[in-house]
Amino acid sequence: MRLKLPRIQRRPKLVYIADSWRDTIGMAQRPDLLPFFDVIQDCIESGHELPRWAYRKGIGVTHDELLEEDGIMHLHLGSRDSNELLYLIQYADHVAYLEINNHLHFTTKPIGAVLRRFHAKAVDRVEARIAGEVADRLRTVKTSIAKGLLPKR
Amino acid sequence: MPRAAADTETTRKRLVRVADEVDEGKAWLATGMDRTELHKRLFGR
Repeated sequence: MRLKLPRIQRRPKLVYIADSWRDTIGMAQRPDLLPFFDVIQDCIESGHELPRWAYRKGIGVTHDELLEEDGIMHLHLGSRDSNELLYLIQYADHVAYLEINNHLHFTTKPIGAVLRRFHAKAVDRVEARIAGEVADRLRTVKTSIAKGLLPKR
Repeated sequence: MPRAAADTETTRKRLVRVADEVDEGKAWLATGMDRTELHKRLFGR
């Protein structure tokens, strides 16, 4: 269900905010970062390609253990070197924002242990909600097909 | 059940219920939300 892709797919996605959301760097004190957050949000919602500054250096070349193990990706706010990161999970038609933080989660052992534990239940709820949406959509499609297949009176 | 024990049990049940309610907080959809409102909810500004 989680996509472990290094980049955000170029297709429109809905953005969920996990109820465990936290902003640990205090974006209220960093208004200079807000436009970068907005660009990321706009690109994800519209399906446009994210700018290069949003992705880490060495993407697709070096390993990102957090992504490969847990499907949690991070996007940079402002520049590829920035220490302000948006952590999120990508799904086929959605993304879920978890938190804004620095590189702290890459220093824990194992990598991402605190992040994973902090958001575990909230991510379960996001995924249950997405699964519910998918099930609803399937039901609608099945109903439409069934109606279309019924002989017309 | 003695009164004190009953009160304790009632309190315990209430705490469990509150914990369940907190635990069942809902993820919310940011898509479509006014951007200023989104900033306010996410960043408090």
